[in-house]
Amino acid sequence: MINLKHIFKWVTVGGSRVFLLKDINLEVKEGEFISIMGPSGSGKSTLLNVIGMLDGFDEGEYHFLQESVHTLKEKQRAQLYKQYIGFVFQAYHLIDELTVYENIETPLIYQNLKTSERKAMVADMLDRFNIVGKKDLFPAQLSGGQQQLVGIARALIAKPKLLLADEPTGNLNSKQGEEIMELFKQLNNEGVTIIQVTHSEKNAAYGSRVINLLDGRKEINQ
Amino acid sequence: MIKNYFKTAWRNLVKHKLFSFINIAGLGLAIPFALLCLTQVVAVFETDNFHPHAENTYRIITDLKAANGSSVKSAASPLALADDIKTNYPFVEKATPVVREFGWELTNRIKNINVNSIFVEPAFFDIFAFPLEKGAFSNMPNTLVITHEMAEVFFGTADAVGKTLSHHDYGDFIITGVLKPYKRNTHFRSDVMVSMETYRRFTKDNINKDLTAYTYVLLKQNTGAKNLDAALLAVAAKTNITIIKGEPILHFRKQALEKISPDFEDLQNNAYVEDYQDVAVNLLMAVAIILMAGFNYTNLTLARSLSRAKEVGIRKVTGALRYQLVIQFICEAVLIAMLSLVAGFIILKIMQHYIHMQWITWEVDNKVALWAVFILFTLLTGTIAGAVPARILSAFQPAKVLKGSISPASFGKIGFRKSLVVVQFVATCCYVFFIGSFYSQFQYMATDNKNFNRENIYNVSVNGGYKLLQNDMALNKEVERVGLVSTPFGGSSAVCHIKKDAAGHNNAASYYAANADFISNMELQFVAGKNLPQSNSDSASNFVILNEQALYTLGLGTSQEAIGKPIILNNDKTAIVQGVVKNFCYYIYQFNTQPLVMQYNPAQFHVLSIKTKNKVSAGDFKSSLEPVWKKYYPHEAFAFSDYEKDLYNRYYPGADMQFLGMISLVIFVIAILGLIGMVTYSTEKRIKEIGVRKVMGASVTAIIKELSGGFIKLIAIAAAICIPVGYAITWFANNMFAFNNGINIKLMLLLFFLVFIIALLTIIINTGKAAVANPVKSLRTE
Ligand SMILES: Nc1ncnc2c1ncn2[C@@H]1O[C@H](COP(=O)(O)OP(=O)(O)O)[C@@H](O)[C@H]1O
Ligand SMILES: [Mg+2]
Repeated sequence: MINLKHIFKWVTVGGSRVFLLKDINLEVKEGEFISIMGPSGSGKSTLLNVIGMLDGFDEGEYHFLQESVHTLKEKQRAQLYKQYIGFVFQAYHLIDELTVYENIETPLIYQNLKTSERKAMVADMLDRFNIVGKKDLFPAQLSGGQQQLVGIARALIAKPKLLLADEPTGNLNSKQGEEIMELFKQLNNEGVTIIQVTHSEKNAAYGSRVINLLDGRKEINQ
Repeated sequence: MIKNYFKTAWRNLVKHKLFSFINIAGLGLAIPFALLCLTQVVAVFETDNFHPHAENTYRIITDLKAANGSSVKSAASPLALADDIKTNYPFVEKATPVVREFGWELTNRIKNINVNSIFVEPAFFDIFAFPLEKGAFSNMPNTLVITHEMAEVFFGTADAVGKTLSHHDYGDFIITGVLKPYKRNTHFRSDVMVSMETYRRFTKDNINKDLTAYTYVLLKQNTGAKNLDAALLAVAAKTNITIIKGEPILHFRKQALEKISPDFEDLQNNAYVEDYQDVAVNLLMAVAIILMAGFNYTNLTLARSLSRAKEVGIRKVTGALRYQLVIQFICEAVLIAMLSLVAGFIILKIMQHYIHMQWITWEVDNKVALWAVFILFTLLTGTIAGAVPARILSAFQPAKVLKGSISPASFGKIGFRKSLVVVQFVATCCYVFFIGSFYSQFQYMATDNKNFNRENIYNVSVNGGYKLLQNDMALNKEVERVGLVSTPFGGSSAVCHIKKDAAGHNNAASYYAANADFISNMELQFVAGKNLPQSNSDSASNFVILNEQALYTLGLGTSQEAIGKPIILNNDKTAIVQGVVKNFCYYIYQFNTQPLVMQYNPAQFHVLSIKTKNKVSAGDFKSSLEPVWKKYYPHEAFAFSDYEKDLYNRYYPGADMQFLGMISLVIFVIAILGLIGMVTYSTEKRIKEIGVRKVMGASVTAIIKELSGGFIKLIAIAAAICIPVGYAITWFANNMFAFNNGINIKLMLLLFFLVFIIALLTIIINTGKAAVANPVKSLRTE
């Protein structure tokens, strides 16, 4: 599904290059559940953003399904992203002005779905995550765990093949974290490919494979 | 999807109340003026849409083709054309000429009023819908019908029919009818419709060739318009036989009544028909006013972009494509614009209630078209105002904004926003200067005593014998001197012809019949010679006073040399130059002086110009003179006027100045609102920094300095630009008037400081609010 070859990403600071990603090679098959680990500042988020096409890279090749991402134009990349990828953040990143219902609905609006279709899909999602009662509340009225549930519901509503999660439990207590991880496991069983960034060995254990990063470089696995 | 965008936009509006208020208030203030401009545009297309046989009515216009091939198009045609067509072509139901003459002033001996006049025949009223309220149209010479409104001006509620109005060249007119109020939007706009016979009696034009009239033709029902084309060819051929070699030949063509306005052909002599340029100017005005308010929207949205950046990032992460975000931001701007339209329309209605100006059309017939134009314009406004921020905001990289690595400084468009603030203040200042200059000039014109004296002068109109009255009034203890004059300065004058000698050619000159006391009353400055001799004679004297311009026109040499020289007045009378006065403005301040002749000529004395010794109350003075008047004219109203007040009203366009002043104020308020918004948002972003600084011991003044520095610099730049630009504008505005009072430095400085001091106060008050806020509070909320 994903094939990264010799990916480099750098920024130029005072004339010299500072590498954020160095020679990353990675292959991810459909249905995998991968955890990216590493110390703070090692480039985990950067890598996840590159995989999620939210950020570019400077060198290397990136194949996603049948497409060569490095040759695509911005617009085509956005289309590809919109069709296949869902994103979950540590800081939830919900839109404060929208209700729970509307936040979850947003991706469908951008998919140009009809109101009736959207209604059915959002209702399903609310059901599945047990937040029907909260649908008219605004993000500020929810707890962190509930907000993250909404964030995940939003990421999943458009039925992505790939779910990317950047420290999804980082702001949650351990019980809430566990619930989220159980949810991921279940999704993975349903066929969603998942790549998550995490600091916790316990969370990493939910996945099938761990990638360790250090200073933007993939550690050769033990 | 659009519905969703508007829902979000609405929530955003409600949440950011200051932002919404500034934008809606700014646009809402600007929109009425834009709507007014648009109303004028729509009205142009509705000119003369109220006549009964419009589909069969045509105007005949003329192409003048010169021998060298060049061609001039004129809306006018010869006076004889209508008669010719009517008598020779049976398919013509009716044809009628109309002649427009400018510069008419009529007087009922109490009031002298500039009126708009056309000459018409009875057939005119059959073709066009100008119904009478009272009386009838008579085609006898020296009769006229008057509009309802003008009748009221002259006679108040009294019946105008049968009353007399006088014109200084045509003599007295009897009013035979009063017109019902009619729609203002007609190219026949006039205050009086005068009998064509009056014109025919006086005109010296060649009625077969000179383009002095407008010709209107009403064809019989079911007549092919082609017949008219053929007829016009034949008529033109007949006319052109008489054309002298070298003169342009005439070609006539028809113009359907509905096609007259607006004029896309650039016709000459096309009075009261707006051409496409007027339409364009109105549209541009609308756009310019709206742009000023639109700037605020653009600027504030960009200033707020940091808080919107996160939202953009999230939406992109949830799959929004860039164009979808662009639409969303434009929807927000359009929503604001639509709300402003509602506010603006209400303001417009209020304005309509309080502002009464001749040159503004408030209502149009086709309301649907008008609203279509309003809404289209508002959509366009929203789209344009929203486009720049939409472009910038939608370009944010989600990876960057969500990480929070975007800082205010990394928005490359700060220069753009700063220049918007500068542009706004420079434009405001320019406009204020422009209006200020006009205000100053109009004030000068309204209160001027330098060109001629208006102070302590009271005019009494007399008709015929005045001597006893004059002597009797001179006995009043307040009166210093009673002068005599044909018509006071400050209005249009009679015209005479002067030449140097019998062989010379004639020059037109303004003519005033005046006596020595009138000239003394006016305190005219003699550069040579002296005042007219005192006289009580019943016949005209052959001494004249000229102005310098008359000397120059005649070529009489220096003023000293001219004294005692003879000139020829009106072809046959020899007059001796008794004195020369300095050029002064006696009518229109825009124009250069015309040659001026003043002569003792008792047959034309119509006004007693009374000078009082001291300042008196006009009312008391009038009552003290009235018994004297009654003694001699028991049955006539006492036509007394306070000259100073008269001329003030004549020269000071009060309603217009009020309106222009209002526009200045609106533009200024918009600029200030924009500034408030900018300052508020930029300090909001730094609220935490302010807290930290305060905790570290910074004083309030230090923080105000820190926060306001950037803005004060912008305002200083705007001020620096305004000084030379403002000077140029003021100079330009002044020089539109041949007689001006120079640049009113005091007023301009006052306006300048007013604008910029208010701007500075706005900055300081708004930064001050942030600076005095409790630091602990702002830090705790983090
Ligand atoms: N645009 C950028 N410019 C400079 N440095 C950056 C940029 N983006 C990320 N970095 C740096 O790259 C490193 C990796 O960042 P990140 O991928 O966010 O790390 P983490 O593993 O904690 O998620 C960090 O040291 C960060 O400071
Ligand atoms: Mg990270």
